[in-house]
Amino acid sequence: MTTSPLMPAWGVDHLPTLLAHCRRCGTYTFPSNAWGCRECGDDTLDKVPMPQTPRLRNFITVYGDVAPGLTSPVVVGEVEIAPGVVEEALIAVADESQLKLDMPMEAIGADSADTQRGLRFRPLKAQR
Amino acid sequence: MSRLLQERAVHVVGIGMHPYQFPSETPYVHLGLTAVREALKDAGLQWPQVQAAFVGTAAIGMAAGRVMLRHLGSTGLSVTQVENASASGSSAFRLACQAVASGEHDVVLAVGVDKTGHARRASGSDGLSTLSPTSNLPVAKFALLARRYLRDGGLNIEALARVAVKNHGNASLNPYAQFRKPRTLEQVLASPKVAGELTVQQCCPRGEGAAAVIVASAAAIARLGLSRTRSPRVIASVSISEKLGRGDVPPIVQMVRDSSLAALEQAGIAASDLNMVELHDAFSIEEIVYGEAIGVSKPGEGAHDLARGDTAIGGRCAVNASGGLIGMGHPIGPTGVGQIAEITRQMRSEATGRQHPNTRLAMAHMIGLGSVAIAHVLQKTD
Ligand SMILES: [Zn+2]
Repeated sequence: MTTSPLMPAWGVDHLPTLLAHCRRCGTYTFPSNAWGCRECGDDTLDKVPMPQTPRLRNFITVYGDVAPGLTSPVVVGEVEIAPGVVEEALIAVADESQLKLDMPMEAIGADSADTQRGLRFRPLKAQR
Repeated sequence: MSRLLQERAVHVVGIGMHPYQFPSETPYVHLGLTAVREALKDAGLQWPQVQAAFVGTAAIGMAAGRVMLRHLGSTGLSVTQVENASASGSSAFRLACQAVASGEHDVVLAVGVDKTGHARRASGSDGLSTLSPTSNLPVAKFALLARRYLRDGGLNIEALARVAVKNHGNASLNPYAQFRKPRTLEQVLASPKVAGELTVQQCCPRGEGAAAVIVASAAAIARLGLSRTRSPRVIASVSISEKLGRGDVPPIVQMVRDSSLAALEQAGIAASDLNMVELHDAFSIEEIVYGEAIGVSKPGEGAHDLARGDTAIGGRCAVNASGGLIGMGHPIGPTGVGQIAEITRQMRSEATGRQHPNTRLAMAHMIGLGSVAIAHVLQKTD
């Protein structure tokens, strides 16, 4: 796998396979090891990287220590990682002032190409 | 179900509550029995006359029903435990209605009872990972929804905080509520921030309690000499789960829309006919968004209607006259059953201190993690 021109590197030289792509209906499902297609239920799924530059669709700051492993305050966003797939994700910025709605994002910090563990998003370099 | 409830009338003949409260050492058996005994007394029924029981609970553990109900006498009735997250009690009530509507039974109990702290969520056991530790956390999801709603409507945080002011005010008049203090707009806004625009006082508390409702057929009401006029009729019962989002409407909002519309169609009424709605306001934003989805308010006008008093007790359609989840509390298992108890009390004009005038048609709407939605419509009996 090579780095897509749309997708900046995030520390290693290939992209995390975040999604499952349905051979039957073409729908993307998150995460890549989902047990079936969220649209049609078929289980012939291919593990694929994000097919587009992720976009920030919404964001907030979480203030309380509301979940294990979460040190607040932290910025949480809704990131569209594939057509119609909008996932809550940690946004690696100091505060919301660096963010604009619908801005392109890049993925950073995953432990390996096969996992989204540790993965966060930040504004694409040109936007920062 | 749609025709069943029209063919064989199901009435709420008895209601009982154990007040919702902060976590305590009180055994759940005491909480539940308090509510059931109050409901039996309210209906004028003896325990052996109850033929089946559905027990809504999310956190107590297996076989909560018989362990609790045996203290009323071992009659051999059918006992079924129901877990459906926040909608556990609503689902227990729905099954009780079905048991009567189907003709299998004549007198059936739905009881919700819960303790705080032992519930485990299946979402952590599906073998899949998420991108954020908040992904299965309602407060983050609803804070994001709130941010979107305020942005789209050009509204400020006060629009949300007014939900909490109204519902804490209603709860202060409800002897079964967990919170009994009215809160000002300033207090709600000054309470600690949790996520986005949501402050602590815009979020439901953790708690425990119990609620019980007894439903019966019209034949049983006549045969057992129960009060018909104190027994509202259940004219719709709907249960659905979430579908994938389409367009700009968040899936959970579409689910509320679909479930409430189906319930209104089943009842043969319009949203504008509703005098009262009890709904899932675990977070302030939910009341505004669901009010619009149900049709209590026109799209985009929920915050405006609230500010004008349309959804207050005495307004056009009272929303969460009980105090809702924010004020009355949200002990999970009891919550949906408590909604039915509140509506019944209001239809009987027995909601002393918080009586909404002329309640004839009301909806109880509940959602649960996952997500599921349960909607019931009740009609006053003349
Ligand atoms: Zn498919």
